[in-house]
Amino acid sequence: MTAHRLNKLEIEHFRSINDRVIVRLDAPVVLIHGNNGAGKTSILSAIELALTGAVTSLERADPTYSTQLLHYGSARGRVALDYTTKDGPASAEVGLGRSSFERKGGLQKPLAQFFSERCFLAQSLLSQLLTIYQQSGSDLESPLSRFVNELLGLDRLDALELGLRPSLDIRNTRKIAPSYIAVERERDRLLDRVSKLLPAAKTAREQQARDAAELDQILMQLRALGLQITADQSDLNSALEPAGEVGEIRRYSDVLERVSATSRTWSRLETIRANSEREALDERLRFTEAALEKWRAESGVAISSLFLRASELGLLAPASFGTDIAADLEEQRSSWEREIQRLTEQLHRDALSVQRARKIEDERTALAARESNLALQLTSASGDADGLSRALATILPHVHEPNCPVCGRDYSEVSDHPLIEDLNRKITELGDLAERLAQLSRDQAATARRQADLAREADSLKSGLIPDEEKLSLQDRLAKIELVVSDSEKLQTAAIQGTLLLLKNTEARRSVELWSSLDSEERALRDDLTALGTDVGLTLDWTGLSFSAAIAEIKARSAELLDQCRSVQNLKLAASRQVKDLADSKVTAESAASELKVAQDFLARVMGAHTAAEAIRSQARSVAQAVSQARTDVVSRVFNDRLNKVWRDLFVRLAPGEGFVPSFFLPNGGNVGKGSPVLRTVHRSGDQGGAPGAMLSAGNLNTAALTLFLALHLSVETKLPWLLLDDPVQSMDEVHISQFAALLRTLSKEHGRQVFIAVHDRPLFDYLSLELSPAFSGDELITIEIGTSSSGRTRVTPNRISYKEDRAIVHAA
Amino acid sequence: MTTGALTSFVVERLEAAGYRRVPTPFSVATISFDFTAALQGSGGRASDLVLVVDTSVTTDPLKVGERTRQRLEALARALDIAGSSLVLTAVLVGAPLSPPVVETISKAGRVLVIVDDPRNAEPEDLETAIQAFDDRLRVLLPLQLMPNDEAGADPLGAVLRSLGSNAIRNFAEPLFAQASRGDKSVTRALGDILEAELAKGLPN
Repeated sequence: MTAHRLNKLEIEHFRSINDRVIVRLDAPVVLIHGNNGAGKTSILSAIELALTGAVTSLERADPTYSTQLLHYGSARGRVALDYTTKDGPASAEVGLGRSSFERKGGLQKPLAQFFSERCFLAQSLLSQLLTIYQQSGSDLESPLSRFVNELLGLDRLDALELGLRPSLDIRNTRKIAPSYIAVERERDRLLDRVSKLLPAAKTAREQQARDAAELDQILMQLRALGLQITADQSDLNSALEPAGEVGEIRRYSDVLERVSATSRTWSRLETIRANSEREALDERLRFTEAALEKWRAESGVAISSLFLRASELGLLAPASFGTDIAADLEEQRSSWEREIQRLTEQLHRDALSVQRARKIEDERTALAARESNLALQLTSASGDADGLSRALATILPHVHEPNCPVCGRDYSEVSDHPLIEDLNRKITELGDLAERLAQLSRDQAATARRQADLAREADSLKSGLIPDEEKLSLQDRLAKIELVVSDSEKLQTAAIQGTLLLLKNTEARRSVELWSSLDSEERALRDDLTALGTDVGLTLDWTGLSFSAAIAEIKARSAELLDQCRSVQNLKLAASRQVKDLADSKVTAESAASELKVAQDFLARVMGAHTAAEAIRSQARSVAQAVSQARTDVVSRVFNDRLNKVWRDLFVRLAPGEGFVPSFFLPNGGNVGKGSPVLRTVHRSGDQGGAPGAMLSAGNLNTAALTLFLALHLSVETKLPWLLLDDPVQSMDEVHISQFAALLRTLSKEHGRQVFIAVHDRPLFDYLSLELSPAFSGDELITIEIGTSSSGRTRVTPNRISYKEDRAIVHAA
Repeated sequence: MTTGALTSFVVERLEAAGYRRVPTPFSVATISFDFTAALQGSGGRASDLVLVVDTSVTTDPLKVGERTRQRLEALARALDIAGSSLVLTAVLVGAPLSPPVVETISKAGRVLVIVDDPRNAEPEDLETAIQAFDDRLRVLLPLQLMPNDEAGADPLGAVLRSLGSNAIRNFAEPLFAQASRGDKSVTRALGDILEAELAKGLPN
């Protein structure tokens, strides 16, 4: 016997076990018999629960089975298992509550899994195994595939392979990692950008170089002009500032201008010198002097006396002769004529006034006469004509008869006309008279006004009249002035002459004077030129130097200096501008370079990320491949010839008459890939048959299922040498049963398995008891009867059978 | 009884499988029994008693089956009386008996039938014939097992170990951790890993 052994089981209120039972398990074979529901399965399930912490057989049917473990109606339960491993004695204990349980001890995960999968053939597993035959497809969802997957743990491999599949095609990878698209787009964008920025940066750099070269050129030129200036000096900008060039330019321009002026002056002098001789000038002067003198003596005097007369008359007259006598004379004459005019007017006005005064006097006289007439008329008119007229008018309506209303007398006595008519006539007369009087009154008033006006006018006139004496003197003056004027007209010609003579004289004099001044002017010019020369750094040596030469020299020098200054000025300007340009192009080049670098860095980053992602993809593909290979390996390792061989052996034992043996086939000659192994049958002759579901009877299918389980158990390294079989022979016929018993015996006696088998069939139990009797010394069999007492309590009746030597056969001597 | 060549071959085969001949005739409960051959197993098969019956040689062809049955039944009864726990297996060698008869016989004990001599097969079919012959006796023969290599209760672990480098193992581990949650979890984990790498390349 191997080291592993189940020894003792204690159950209390677990599933159908109602009571506390102790079951000894320490024999190579344990045979359990009980009716359905008595508790055989409970015993086996209890062992599973204690060892693994779960009852997968129940889990297959109901995932919430843990609530169903406690015996119905009990509050608590317990399962305790004593067992031995290669490490020594061990135990597992499970406390059961209404809805859960707690386990202490037992097997660890890998062994527990081994137990559940390969040691314990529960009813549900058998059903599952049977289903495999009934649906013999090999697709992923067929019972066989699921069985294989579960058995081999392939489901996780499949999940990995399927899960990693998107790494194969980049289009699918993009779907699970959308950033791929963004990264690829970004990469393309940056590649494009870099390709555009590269030439731009190059161009900018070249431009910068050109600008620097140009600046050097300009500065070189400035250095040639004497400036100490280099491109890399720190105060370059201030060195390029104007440093007096403007002033110098002005100075030299000024010099040039003055030299030009001097030159012009010199030309003039030369012209004069060329044009005239001294003696001629003197002669001329003498001549003009004489002429002038003569005139003065004659006309001059006359004109002077004329002026004197004028001034005596109170007229304007110059005290002495100006340069233009004729003009003066004419001017004075104008003023004198104006005086004449004035006087004439004055006298005329006065004459008019006299005339008017006389007229007024006449009119006044006439008016006086009229006035007295009017007065006379007015005074003689009596009474209030108007009033009377009106009164009479009021009486008029009262007059009807020819009698006078006053005295009553018959009016016809007095007059031929009726009273009314006379009355009317009178009224009218009175009216007319009144009107006339009114008119006369107005007339009188108007006359009086006129008289007043005239009186006023007469007075004012009178005051403005020139007294006769004065008038006479005025007339006298007027006559004299007229005389003066006419005299001056006579003298005009002479005056003109005089003016001319004076001019000629002046000119002659000036020419002479000019000559004299020429020398000093020449001296002055020379001094000027010397000074100008000094201004432009020339020391003029006058020995043998002509004016024109000197002028030319100075001009040349100042032009040269001017030019130089202008050059410096322009160069400085150009240099400043170039400095700015260089600064700009430097900035441009630097920014282009940095932009490029940024883009390149980003690109590197993006490419790095892309490469890394691609590497991951590649890794994923490798892993998927490894997984696929592993799957194939696993499947082919298990479902290989060895398994088929064992399975065949077992199946044939149990169904010796069956021509077709179930077998696993790996489609594609072993490269299963995604598929599962396929169930087929093989004829003993070697020919392929169809699927077991089609080829085998129901009984043989059961056999196939049972033997597959055993084959799987036997085809791996024995981790746990225990076989627990729960009623596995439900639909086997008797022939099979005997083979089965023999197989069990083989497994127990020859392969060291501790076998636990539960059956409900009595005859079967008896038969197995016989078949599984201890065969040799040390071999044992435990039989357990399990049933329910009348009170409902579980009753367990164990029996231990030890080896007894069999002496039945007696050999013939 | 005379023994045929096939019967001898059967006996040889059983002997090669560890059975030991029991001299015939032998008595059980004072009753003498004689069969063509009798063998008893050894070791774990010690309770196996195998009787080889040559069905070809008989005085009465029609009665062979019935006689065989009678004898086996008698032996079974005798063993019961003797309180033996021996298990009977009858190997019928030679001319086949009718199925109803075989079935009747099998009530007394296990019945195995051997008809053909595999040595008579064509050379190319020899192996198959031998295997078919063995199959007939299979239940009596020892079970030969060659356990597989460890199937690997942890196929994922095996795969992980099989990966070539530490780098790829480190890469695979988080993915493997998701495997039990299904393929979509794996895909999501892969997507996350990719996204993390790709994100390094994108502006924030």
